[in-house]
Amino acid sequence: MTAEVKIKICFNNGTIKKFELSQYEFKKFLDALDLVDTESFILNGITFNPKEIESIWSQVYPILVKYED
Amino acid sequence: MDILSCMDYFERSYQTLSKAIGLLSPLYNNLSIPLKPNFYYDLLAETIDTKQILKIKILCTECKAPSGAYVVTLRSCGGYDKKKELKKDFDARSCDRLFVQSPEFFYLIPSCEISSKRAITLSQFTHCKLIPG
Repeated sequence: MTAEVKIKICFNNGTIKKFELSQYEFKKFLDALDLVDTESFILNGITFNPKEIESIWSQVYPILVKYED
Repeated sequence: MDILSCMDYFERSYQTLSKAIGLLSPLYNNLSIPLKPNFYYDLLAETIDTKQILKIKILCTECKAPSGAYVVTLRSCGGYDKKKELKKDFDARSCDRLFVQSPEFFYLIPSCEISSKRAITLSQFTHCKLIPG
């Protein structure tokens, strides 16, 4: 079973892009952000520099709850 | 009214964010929260029909104007630079919607309708009231 992490990245130029990453890709992405000397990396085929990222957003997953009397 | 401590302020902000997620979930697709606190907006929401991503700033207020109407401060204050307190006026281009919680109602105000840079009176935005479903 593979889980997907749905994130949105806001860039400094105002654009927002959506990404659906596997847990492995998400971990690699966070590791790349953690490294000071990372100049560029590829996410879902898009190459960019960590300095271009303004903020990272995680999707809220609504949970349906069935109430019973 | 008592002055809120720093922790009370954070706690109240989280409660308002939680209420915003609950109220906006039926209205939008794919609500997103930041991994790190963001200065300009607190929630991203995708419209159901056009799939446009909206930036939503979340605020709460308990302050009343002498007229009795609730007032919400838009100006951000916080931090110091060279012993000078940093204050930033509201820029309507920095977000698309403003979610406001007052003790009486919730409001979802398009930021393009806001011309003030420091504060707004909520009685001007009765057409933006959110009615919980």
